[in-house]
Amino acid sequence: MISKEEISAEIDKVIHKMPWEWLNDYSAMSIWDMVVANGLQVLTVGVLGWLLATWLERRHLRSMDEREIPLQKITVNTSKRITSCEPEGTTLLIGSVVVAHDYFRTLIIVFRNIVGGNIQPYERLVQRGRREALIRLKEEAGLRGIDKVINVRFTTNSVSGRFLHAVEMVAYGTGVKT
Amino acid sequence: MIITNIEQVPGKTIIQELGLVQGSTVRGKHIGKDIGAFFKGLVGGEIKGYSELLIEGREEAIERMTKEAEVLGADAVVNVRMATSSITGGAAEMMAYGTAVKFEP
Repeated sequence: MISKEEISAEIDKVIHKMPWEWLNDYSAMSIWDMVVANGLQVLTVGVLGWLLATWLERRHLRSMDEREIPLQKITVNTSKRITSCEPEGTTLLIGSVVVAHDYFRTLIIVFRNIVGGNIQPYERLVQRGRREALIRLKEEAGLRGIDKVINVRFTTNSVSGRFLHAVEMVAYGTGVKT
Repeated sequence: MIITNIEQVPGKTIIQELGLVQGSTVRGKHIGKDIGAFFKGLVGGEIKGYSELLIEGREEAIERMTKEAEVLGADAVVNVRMATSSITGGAAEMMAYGTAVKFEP
């Protein structure tokens, strides 16, 4: 049984200390050790994620290079008229993708943005996303046997989930069967 | 129902414009997808959960627009435009709007 005096003595011990000394009596680690240890863990996960992200980005670029080859026969343009041929069928085609950065790179960007200027990682991300969206549009066209897509428009939306902020790239156009 | 984002439908003659039709939807994903997205965010790249959400939403918006056009007795919807806005964390609004038209019989 702990007496009242003992409890108040404990409380006195705590409140007469500075906040960073509170844990000293109860654990071998000081609060600074904890900050350093947790910081190292967070940094390790972040750096691993960053390396993995770089590898995944390269893999994605390679896969896009491959997928673009059979799609070359589908022509895409932004004009509203068809000049070369009489069409048989018309449909609306949409290709979209949501892409995001890894957290470590997001952190780098936050610091990089203090001085402003070109934000290269983001440029790469949106270019990659837009290319993927266009490939998906063309793939859908290919599945329906469409060989010409006219009046293609691009839109970019910022999507925010509960934890993560991402960008959505959309490409849409009118597919005509010739 | 033919849907295009140009002013006419190639190969057809439009005889009547029936007016603006639009469809919209606000969709969210269950929290599990958001937690999945959080872990995917460690490495970045495509967030499949959100891609699906937006594609489903867009399809639904277009479907609603098409239904409205059918009620008007239209043959096609031309000049379709799309808009997306993020209403709150985990939910997005999709909107599709266009002009309902009738062809020469």
